[in-house]
Amino acid sequence: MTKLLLVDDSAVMRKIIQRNIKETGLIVDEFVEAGDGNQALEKVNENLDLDLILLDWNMPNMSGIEFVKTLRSLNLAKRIPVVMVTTEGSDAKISEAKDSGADGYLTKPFTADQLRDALGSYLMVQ
Amino acid sequence: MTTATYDNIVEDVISCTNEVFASMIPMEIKSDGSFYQKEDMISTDVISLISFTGEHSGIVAFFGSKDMALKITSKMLGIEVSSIDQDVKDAMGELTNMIGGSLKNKVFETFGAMHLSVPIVIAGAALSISSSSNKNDKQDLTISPGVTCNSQNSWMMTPFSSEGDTFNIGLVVKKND
Repeated sequence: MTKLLLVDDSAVMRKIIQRNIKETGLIVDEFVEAGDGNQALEKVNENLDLDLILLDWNMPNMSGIEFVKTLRSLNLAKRIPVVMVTTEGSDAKISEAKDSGADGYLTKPFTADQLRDALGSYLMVQ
Repeated sequence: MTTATYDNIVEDVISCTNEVFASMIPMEIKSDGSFYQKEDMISTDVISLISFTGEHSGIVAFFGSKDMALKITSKMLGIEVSSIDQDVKDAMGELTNMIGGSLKNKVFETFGAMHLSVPIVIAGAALSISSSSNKNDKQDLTISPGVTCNSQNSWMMTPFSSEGDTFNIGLVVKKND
Protein backbone atom coordinates (compact mmCIF):
# COMPACT_ATOMS: atom_id res chain seq x y z
CA MET A 1 0.00 0.00 0.00
CA THR A 2 1.60 3.25 -1.17
CA LYS A 3 0.62 6.42 0.67
CA LEU A 4 1.58 9.90 -0.54
CA LEU A 5 1.22 13.27 1.24
CA LEU A 6 0.52 16.23 -1.06
CA VAL A 7 1.33 19.59 0.52
CA ASP A 8 0.25 22.65 -1.50
CA ASP A 9 -1.90 25.64 -0.58
CA SER A 10 -3.65 25.30 -3.95
CA ALA A 11 -6.38 22.64 -3.91
CA VAL A 12 -6.42 22.83 -7.71
CA MET A 13 -2.71 22.01 -7.87
CA ARG A 14 -3.25 19.06 -5.53
CA LYS A 15 -5.96 17.79 -7.89
CA ILE A 16 -3.75 18.29 -10.95
CA ILE A 17 -0.85 16.38 -9.37
CA GLN A 18 -3.13 13.51 -8.35
CA ARG A 19 -4.57 13.30 -11.87
CA ASN A 20 -1.10 13.40 -13.46
CA ILE A 21 0.20 10.68 -11.14
CA LYS A 22 -2.71 8.43 -12.11
CA GLU A 23 -2.36 9.20 -15.83
CA THR A 24 1.38 8.51 -15.87
CA GLY A 25 0.89 5.07 -14.33
CA LEU A 26 2.64 5.77 -11.04
CA ILE A 27 1.06 3.67 -8.30
CA VAL A 28 -0.36 5.50 -5.29
CA ASP A 29 -3.07 3.80 -3.23
CA GLU A 30 -3.89 6.68 -0.92
CA PHE A 31 -3.43 10.44 -1.17
CA VAL A 32 -3.28 12.52 2.02
CA GLU A 33 -3.55 16.30 1.57
CA ALA A 34 -2.39 19.37 3.48
CA GLY A 35 -2.64 23.08 2.66
CA ASP A 36 0.44 24.31 4.54
CA GLY A 37 3.40 23.12 6.59
CA ASN A 38 1.51 23.11 9.88
CA GLN A 39 -1.23 20.88 8.47
CA ALA A 40 1.44 18.69 6.89
CA LEU A 41 3.13 18.09 10.26
CA GLU A 42 -0.24 17.01 11.69
CA LYS A 43 -0.75 14.62 8.75
CA VAL A 44 2.74 13.16 9.20
CA ASN A 45 2.03 12.47 12.86
CA GLU A 46 -1.23 10.74 11.87
CA ASN A 47 0.40 8.83 8.98
CA LEU A 48 3.87 7.66 9.93
CA ASP A 49 3.70 5.04 7.18
CA LEU A 50 3.89 7.67 4.42
CA ASP A 51 5.99 6.60 1.42
CA LEU A 52 6.55 10.03 -0.11
CA ILE A 53 5.83 13.72 0.49
CA LEU A 54 5.36 16.20 -2.38
CA LEU A 55 5.92 19.68 -1.04
CA ASP A 56 5.25 23.20 -2.31
CA TRP A 57 7.63 25.93 -1.14
CA ASN A 58 5.61 29.15 -0.82
CA MET A 59 2.66 28.57 1.47
CA PRO A 60 1.01 30.57 4.25
CA ASN A 61 1.58 29.79 7.95
CA MET A 62 4.54 27.41 7.48
CA SER A 63 6.53 27.30 4.24
CA GLY A 64 7.73 24.12 2.60
CA ILE A 65 11.35 24.75 3.56
CA GLU A 66 10.40 25.30 7.22
CA PHE A 67 8.38 22.10 7.10
CA VAL A 68 11.19 19.95 5.70
CA LYS A 69 13.65 21.28 8.28
CA THR A 70 11.19 20.44 11.06
CA LEU A 71 10.42 17.05 9.53
CA ARG A 72 14.10 16.10 9.43
CA SER A 73 14.42 16.95 13.12
CA LEU A 74 11.71 14.39 13.99
CA ASN A 75 13.20 10.98 14.63
CA LEU A 76 10.09 9.03 13.67
CA ALA A 77 9.57 10.72 10.33
CA LYS A 78 13.06 11.53 9.18
CA ARG A 79 13.24 8.72 6.63
CA ILE A 80 10.20 9.77 4.56
CA PRO A 81 11.49 11.07 1.20
CA VAL A 82 10.47 14.61 0.23
CA VAL A 83 10.25 15.98 -3.31
CA MET A 84 9.77 19.74 -3.62
CA VAL A 85 7.25 20.75 -6.32
CA THR A 86 7.49 24.50 -6.62
CA THR A 87 7.85 27.54 -8.87
CA GLU A 88 11.17 28.31 -7.15
CA GLY A 89 13.62 27.20 -9.82
CA SER A 90 16.94 28.95 -9.18
CA ASP A 91 20.09 26.93 -8.42
CA ALA A 92 20.33 28.69 -5.04
CA LYS A 93 16.80 27.61 -4.06
CA ILE A 94 17.37 24.04 -5.22
CA SER A 95 20.58 23.87 -3.15
CA GLU A 96 18.80 25.36 -0.15
CA ALA A 97 16.06 22.75 -0.41
CA LYS A 98 18.48 19.86 -0.67
CA ASP A 99 20.64 21.23 2.17
CA SER A 100 17.47 21.41 4.28
CA GLY A 101 16.66 17.76 3.68
CA ALA A 102 14.66 17.55 0.45
CA ASP A 103 15.50 14.48 -1.64
CA GLY A 104 14.19 15.65 -5.02
CA TYR A 105 13.08 18.75 -6.84
CA LEU A 106 10.53 19.49 -9.58
CA THR A 107 9.85 22.98 -10.90
CA LYS A 108 6.35 24.14 -11.83
CA PRO A 109 5.13 24.17 -14.53
CA PHE A 110 5.93 20.55 -15.29
CA THR A 111 4.88 18.04 -17.89
CA ALA A 112 3.51 14.60 -17.05
CA ASP A 113 6.83 13.09 -18.21
CA GLN A 114 8.82 15.36 -15.90
CA LEU A 115 6.57 14.39 -12.99
CA ARG A 116 7.06 10.69 -13.73
CA ASP A 117 10.84 11.16 -13.95
CA ALA A 118 10.94 13.08 -10.66
CA LEU A 119 8.87 10.50 -8.76
CA GLY A 120 9.96 7.33 -10.53
CA SER A 121 12.63 6.61 -7.93
CA TYR A 122 10.09 6.60 -5.12
CA LEU A 123 6.95 5.07 -6.65
CA MET A 124 6.23 1.90 -8.59
CA VAL A 125 4.98 2.20 -12.18
CA GLN A 126 2.11 0.09 -13.51
CA MET B 1 14.50 59.38 -11.30
CA THR B 2 15.82 55.84 -11.68
CA THR B 3 15.88 54.29 -15.13
CA ALA B 4 16.53 50.66 -15.95
CA THR B 5 16.37 48.85 -19.26
CA TYR B 6 15.05 45.32 -19.64
CA ASP B 7 15.43 43.79 -23.03
CA ASN B 8 13.16 40.98 -24.15
CA ILE B 9 10.70 41.25 -21.27
CA VAL B 10 7.73 40.90 -23.63
CA GLU B 11 9.28 37.78 -25.15
CA ASP B 12 9.91 36.43 -21.64
CA VAL B 13 6.27 36.99 -20.61
CA ILE B 14 5.10 35.26 -23.80
CA SER B 15 7.46 32.30 -23.44
CA CYS B 16 6.66 31.82 -19.73
CA THR B 17 2.91 31.91 -20.36
CA ASN B 18 3.22 29.56 -23.33
CA GLU B 19 5.31 27.18 -21.21
CA VAL B 20 2.69 27.06 -18.45
CA PHE B 21 -0.09 26.30 -20.92
CA ALA B 22 1.95 23.78 -22.92
CA SER B 23 2.92 21.91 -19.75
CA MET B 24 -0.19 21.99 -17.60
CA ILE B 25 -3.22 23.41 -19.41
CA PRO B 26 -4.29 21.57 -22.59
CA MET B 27 -5.50 24.69 -24.38
CA GLU B 28 -4.21 26.46 -27.48
CA ILE B 29 -3.30 30.10 -26.87
CA LYS B 30 -1.89 32.70 -29.23
CA SER B 31 -0.02 35.83 -28.21
CA ASP B 32 -0.39 39.15 -30.00
CA GLY B 33 2.38 41.59 -29.08
CA SER B 34 1.98 43.91 -26.11
CA PHE B 35 0.67 47.34 -25.19
CA TYR B 36 0.65 49.74 -22.29
CA GLN B 37 -2.54 50.47 -20.41
CA LYS B 38 -3.30 53.09 -17.82
CA GLU B 39 -4.40 51.52 -14.59
CA ASP B 40 -7.71 53.41 -14.54
CA MET B 41 -8.58 51.99 -17.97
CA ILE B 42 -8.50 48.37 -16.79
CA SER B 43 -11.94 46.78 -16.52
CA THR B 44 -12.30 43.02 -16.23
CA ASP B 45 -14.11 40.22 -14.37
CA VAL B 46 -11.24 38.25 -12.84
CA ILE B 47 -7.94 39.62 -11.55
CA SER B 48 -5.19 37.45 -10.09
CA LEU B 49 -2.14 39.27 -8.72
CA ILE B 50 1.22 38.08 -7.47
CA SER B 51 3.72 40.63 -6.20
CA PHE B 52 7.48 40.36 -6.04
CA THR B 53 10.00 42.20 -3.91
CA GLY B 54 13.78 42.44 -3.96
CA GLU B 55 16.15 44.72 -5.87
CA HIS B 56 13.08 45.31 -8.01
CA SER B 57 9.48 45.16 -6.95
CA GLY B 58 6.33 44.85 -8.96
CA ILE B 59 3.29 42.81 -9.85
CA VAL B 60 2.49 40.08 -12.36
CA ALA B 61 -1.24 39.76 -13.00
CA PHE B 62 -3.85 37.86 -14.97
CA PHE B 63 -6.75 39.94 -16.29
CA GLY B 64 -9.56 38.02 -17.94
CA SER B 65 -13.28 37.60 -18.47
CA LYS B 66 -15.41 35.24 -16.43
CA ASP B 67 -15.78 32.96 -19.47
CA MET B 68 -12.01 32.79 -19.97
CA ALA B 69 -11.41 32.00 -16.29
CA LEU B 70 -14.01 29.21 -16.48
CA LYS B 71 -12.46 27.85 -19.67
CA ILE B 72 -8.94 27.79 -18.26
CA THR B 73 -10.08 26.18 -14.99
CA SER B 74 -12.05 23.52 -16.88
CA LYS B 75 -8.96 22.67 -18.92
CA MET B 76 -6.71 22.62 -15.85
CA LEU B 77 -8.99 20.29 -13.92
CA GLY B 78 -10.22 18.21 -16.85
CA ILE B 79 -13.86 18.76 -15.84
CA GLU B 80 -16.48 21.29 -16.94
CA VAL B 81 -16.68 24.24 -14.55
CA SER B 82 -19.68 26.53 -15.11
CA SER B 83 -19.62 29.11 -12.32
CA ILE B 84 -17.02 31.14 -10.48
CA ASP B 85 -16.22 29.20 -7.31
CA GLN B 86 -13.23 28.59 -5.07
CA ASP B 87 -11.67 26.21 -7.61
CA VAL B 88 -11.72 28.94 -10.27
CA LYS B 89 -10.11 31.46 -7.94
CA ASP B 90 -7.57 28.85 -6.89
CA ALA B 91 -6.81 27.93 -10.51
CA MET B 92 -6.32 31.57 -11.52
CA GLY B 93 -4.02 32.05 -8.53
CA GLU B 94 -1.97 29.01 -9.46
CA LEU B 95 -1.79 30.11 -13.10
CA THR B 96 -0.41 33.50 -12.05
CA ASN B 97 1.91 31.84 -9.55
CA MET B 98 3.42 29.61 -12.24
CA ILE B 99 3.78 32.44 -14.78
CA GLY B 100 5.30 34.72 -12.12
CA GLY B 101 7.63 31.97 -10.91
CA SER B 102 8.81 31.16 -14.43
CA LEU B 103 9.34 34.83 -15.17
CA LYS B 104 11.28 35.26 -11.95
CA ASN B 105 13.56 32.36 -12.84
CA LYS B 106 14.08 33.76 -16.34
CA VAL B 107 14.86 37.37 -15.39
CA PHE B 108 16.81 36.57 -12.22
CA GLU B 109 20.14 37.73 -13.67
CA THR B 110 18.70 41.10 -14.73
CA PHE B 111 16.35 41.85 -11.86
CA GLY B 112 18.37 40.24 -9.07
CA ALA B 113 17.00 38.02 -6.32
CA MET B 114 13.32 38.49 -5.59
CA HIS B 115 10.64 36.99 -3.40
CA LEU B 116 7.17 36.17 -4.72
CA SER B 117 4.04 36.63 -2.63
CA VAL B 118 1.19 34.15 -2.54
CA PRO B 119 -1.45 35.08 -5.17
CA ILE B 120 -4.47 37.29 -4.54
CA VAL B 121 -7.53 36.60 -6.72
CA ILE B 122 -10.57 38.84 -7.09
CA ALA B 123 -13.61 37.89 -9.18
CA GLY B 124 -16.64 40.02 -9.97
CA ALA B 125 -17.93 42.07 -12.89
CA ALA B 126 -16.14 44.97 -14.58
CA LEU B 127 -13.51 45.17 -11.85
CA SER B 128 -11.00 48.00 -11.88
CA ILE B 129 -7.82 48.63 -9.91
CA SER B 130 -6.01 51.65 -8.57
CA SER B 131 -2.56 52.07 -7.10
CA SER B 132 -2.37 53.33 -3.51
CA SER B 133 1.34 54.17 -3.54
CA ASN B 134 2.72 57.67 -3.08
CA LYS B 135 2.49 59.66 -6.30
CA ASN B 136 5.70 61.51 -5.39
CA ASP B 137 7.55 58.22 -5.64
CA LYS B 138 7.14 57.79 -9.39
CA GLN B 139 9.88 56.02 -11.32
CA ASP B 140 10.06 55.80 -15.08
CA LEU B 141 11.33 52.45 -16.34
CA THR B 142 12.27 51.59 -19.89
CA ILE B 143 10.77 48.14 -20.29
CA SER B 144 11.94 47.61 -23.84
CA PRO B 145 14.05 49.81 -26.09
CA GLY B 146 12.20 52.97 -27.01
CA VAL B 147 9.17 52.37 -24.79
CA THR B 148 8.81 54.04 -21.43
CA CYS B 149 6.42 52.77 -18.81
CA ASN B 150 5.39 54.84 -15.83
CA SER B 151 5.30 52.18 -13.16
CA GLN B 152 2.93 54.24 -11.01
CA ASN B 153 -0.09 53.84 -13.21
CA SER B 154 0.64 52.00 -16.47
CA TRP B 155 0.78 48.26 -17.02
CA MET B 156 2.61 46.42 -19.74
CA MET B 157 -0.12 44.14 -21.05
CA THR B 158 0.57 41.03 -23.11
CA PRO B 159 -2.65 39.74 -24.67
CA PHE B 160 -3.36 36.09 -25.42
CA SER B 161 -6.34 34.72 -27.33
CA SER B 162 -8.03 31.33 -27.43
CA GLU B 163 -11.20 30.30 -29.24
CA GLY B 164 -12.42 33.88 -29.65
CA ASP B 165 -11.78 35.07 -26.12
CA THR B 166 -8.76 36.89 -24.69
CA PHE B 167 -6.86 37.45 -21.47
CA ASN B 168 -3.97 39.73 -20.59
CA ILE B 169 -0.86 39.09 -18.54
CA GLY B 170 0.03 42.42 -16.95
CA LEU B 171 3.36 43.49 -15.52
CA VAL B 172 4.59 46.50 -13.59
CA VAL B 173 8.18 46.74 -12.36
CA LYS B 174 9.98 49.30 -10.25
CA LYS B 175 13.66 49.39 -9.35
CA ASN B 176 14.14 49.93 -5.63
CA ASP B 177 16.78 52.47 -4.60
